[in-house]
Amino acid sequence: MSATRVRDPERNSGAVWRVLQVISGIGALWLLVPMLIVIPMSFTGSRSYRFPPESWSFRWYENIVTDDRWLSALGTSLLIAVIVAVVATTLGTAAALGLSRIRIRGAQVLNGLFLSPMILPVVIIGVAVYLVFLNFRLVNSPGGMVLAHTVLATPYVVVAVAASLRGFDTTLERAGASLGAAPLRVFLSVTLPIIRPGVLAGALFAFIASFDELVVSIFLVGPSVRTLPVQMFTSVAQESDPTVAAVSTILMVSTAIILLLVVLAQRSEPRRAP
Amino acid sequence: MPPENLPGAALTLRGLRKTYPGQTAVDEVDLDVRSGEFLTFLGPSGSGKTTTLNMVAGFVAPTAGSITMDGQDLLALPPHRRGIGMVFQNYALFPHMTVFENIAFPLKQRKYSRDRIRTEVASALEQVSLGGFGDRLPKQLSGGQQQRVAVARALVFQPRLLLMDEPLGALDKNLRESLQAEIRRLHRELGITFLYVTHDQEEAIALSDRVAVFDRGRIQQIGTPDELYDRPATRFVASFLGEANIASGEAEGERDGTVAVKVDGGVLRAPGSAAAGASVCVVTRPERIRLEQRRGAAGLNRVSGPIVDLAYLGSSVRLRVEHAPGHSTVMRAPAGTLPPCAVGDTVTLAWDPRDSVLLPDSPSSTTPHPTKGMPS
Amino acid sequence: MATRYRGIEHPLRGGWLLVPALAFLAVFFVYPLAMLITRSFTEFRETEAGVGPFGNYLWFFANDANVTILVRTFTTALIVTAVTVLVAYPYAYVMTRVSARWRMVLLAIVLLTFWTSLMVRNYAWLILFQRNGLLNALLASVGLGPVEILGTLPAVVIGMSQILLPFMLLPLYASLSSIDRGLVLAAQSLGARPSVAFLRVYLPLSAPGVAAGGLLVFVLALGFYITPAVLGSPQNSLFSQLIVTQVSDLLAWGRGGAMAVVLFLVTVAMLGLFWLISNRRELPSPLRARGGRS
Repeated sequence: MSATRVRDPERNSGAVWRVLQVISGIGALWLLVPMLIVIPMSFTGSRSYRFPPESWSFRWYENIVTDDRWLSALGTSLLIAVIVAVVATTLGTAAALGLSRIRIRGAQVLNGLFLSPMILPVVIIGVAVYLVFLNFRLVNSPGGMVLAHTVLATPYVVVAVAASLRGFDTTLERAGASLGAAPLRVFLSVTLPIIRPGVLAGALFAFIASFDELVVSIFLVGPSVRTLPVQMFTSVAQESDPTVAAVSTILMVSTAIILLLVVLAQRSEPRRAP
Repeated sequence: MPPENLPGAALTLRGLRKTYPGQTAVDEVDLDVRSGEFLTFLGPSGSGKTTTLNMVAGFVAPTAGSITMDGQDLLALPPHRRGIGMVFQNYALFPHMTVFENIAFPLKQRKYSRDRIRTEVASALEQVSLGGFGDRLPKQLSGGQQQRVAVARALVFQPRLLLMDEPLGALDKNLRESLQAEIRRLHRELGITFLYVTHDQEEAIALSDRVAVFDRGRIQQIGTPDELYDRPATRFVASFLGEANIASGEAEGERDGTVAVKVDGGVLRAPGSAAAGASVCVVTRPERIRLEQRRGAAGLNRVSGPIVDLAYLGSSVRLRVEHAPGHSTVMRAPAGTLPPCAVGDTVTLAWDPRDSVLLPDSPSSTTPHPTKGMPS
Repeated sequence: MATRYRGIEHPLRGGWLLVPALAFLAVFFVYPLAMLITRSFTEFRETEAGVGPFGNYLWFFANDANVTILVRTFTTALIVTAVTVLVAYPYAYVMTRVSARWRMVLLAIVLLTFWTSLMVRNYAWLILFQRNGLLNALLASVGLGPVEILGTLPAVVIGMSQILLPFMLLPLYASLSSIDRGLVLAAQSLGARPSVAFLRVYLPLSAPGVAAGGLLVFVLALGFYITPAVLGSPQNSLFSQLIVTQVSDLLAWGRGGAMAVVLFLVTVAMLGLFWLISNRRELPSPLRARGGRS
């Protein structure tokens, strides 16, 4: 047809589109590349960060297993994160349910209070918690670590569960009650199954919030409790030890696998109406 | 709105086609829209009517074919230079602008002076009875009010062609009817060409000068609502517009300009011609059929059977008779004209063969109301 | 007499569910913060003793080094926010316009970054910025460098922006994908050129998403501690490092507390400003409409 034909406005083309594509490409590389170069670094043969490495070895992976600082830090982190996930999920789910049910003026203020540990600079929370925990003898104690992490993790659960409650049809609870179920029964067999994806997401967020926590942990560590991020931080600060690269590679691969499993689980689960 | 009536634009579509990978959305559409007429694209969703409208608006580039408006090649122009008004399905009112700013938008693009914008917007608001609503945001208006703002915005720059894509789809029935009257009035007063898309056949019949029925990317038939209703050209048109009894069968022979068709439960005659053995169908509108109380004239189409459904629809009564197992015929008569009868009574239905239409059978059509009339 | 059932509509029904979380936060979050604030008014080093309850705050603002660090932290946070907006907007826009498969790829990249341990990401930049690292190897291959970037503020900005980019991208993508494409088409049908349609319709509608993401990034950047500690140097330290130094190394609880309060107030001020602005656009009053008209 004629050469003057105008292009389809709904089709992606033209110089502007190309510029946008290039910027997005740069953004994608910027996000990915730094993390990806950690992987070859973990197989370096020498105790240096030279890139590309001059020789290759598995010694840093062996080091994780043989040097018990790394294994014990990993164990501590996992244990604390699991406990935090359980406690924060319980507290946060109850709070989100409570928030969705009260209709008083203060509800918004309460909501703000629940979310504030997420927005406030962590270093403030770290200093404040450190100050009080010194007096409570909760510094250098696994229990103190759990309590501090729970403060940081609970908001994630509140947000996730509140999001799944927004689409929740409360007439279902009324239907349950009218069919003869007591309130607890209604919760367990009607409400909980429906908001389950939100609760699970909240638990996952809480786990990661704790497992990945570093700033508050730096204040609370001691000989009897040392988490994995703290171990990495001190190792990076004191020496150039490629064991950190090996640990990072393991963490990244685990993250990718968990992310993939979550996506697959969401796919296989039949879509619930929002 | 201008006091003087600008003539409407004439639109010509030739060989228009749009293909996407794996499917043809619009296939060889030829159409002449006359200056000042109200033409409706009617069809089920996915029939190509909205794609065709979007090609006229410039939002979709055709794969092949041409579109001209008053002899000017529209395809050479980007959407913002076509000067065609459009009312969108969900109104597409800018949520961050007031009603005033929404309606002023096309005038600002055309660099009207501020004073002129103020007077034009004010009179556009008056035109749709929304004077004083200029400071509201779209979300503060009811659905019907939003619809009127969308119309005012599409007309304020005095386009000569107005496109409307299911503009009443989101509204309830009563509101729809009163807005239909308003759209008819606007069309009468402005004299510009209206191109309207809907899947609602009652709306199409109520509004249009002519209707183009779309199915599977093609125009099946173009005509006035009467023509489409009384003389459908395809089985699809018959079933999509109004209620129809459609009986499929085999043509047996021609006599006196009518063809006898062997269908389940009897033989029906309809005017036309068909080779013996051809697959055809006989289409009859329910209101053409009468309840026969005593044996009447010879040469009528007749079917008998028990009444399986009887519904009072206010001004009329609808009766369904199962004339063969699994096949039924529907008739409709003004209330009070029927003798007393009840579900289960065996009755005979009769009608003049000249009230039926003979069509080639095309069972592959996307029949929107499969339960209507006689299932084939 | 039997007690009456309060009914499903009672405004406090279910309120007891809030009690455990509220009690927990009160003891382990609100109480520590209150203690820290109290300390900032009651505990002094010898130099400030006798100046009055605001001694620590006077010390903070009288000390040029402190103010320099506060300003540096502010500018760094602003630059980081600007960089993330400039990269995230095209990225999120492209995400809304490409096929589902490409959208998944782009989203997967963001999510993988988002979920990867913070320490891993900081460490990755540390490796990249080494004197004999990848960056200098690349620069050398085009005949440039080597540059000494580790320990400089640009290194901190590059690292922080990458770490915070997902916080900008995710809300922005949610915001952009909720914009009705039909509005842009409507603007064009009303005579607006594509660029005008973008500026007058799409951009204003995406502004809340940009503001929300930008605020989140800015507030998080204000409190960043790990990245400047790993990629920066003591000469260009940021505010959080200053607080940690006062508390951990010098055990100056009063001064540290005062600085925490300053950072807290800055954060709250930013949140309040955002709240004010975002609520003003909601105002349907004649005042706003008149403003738009003139």
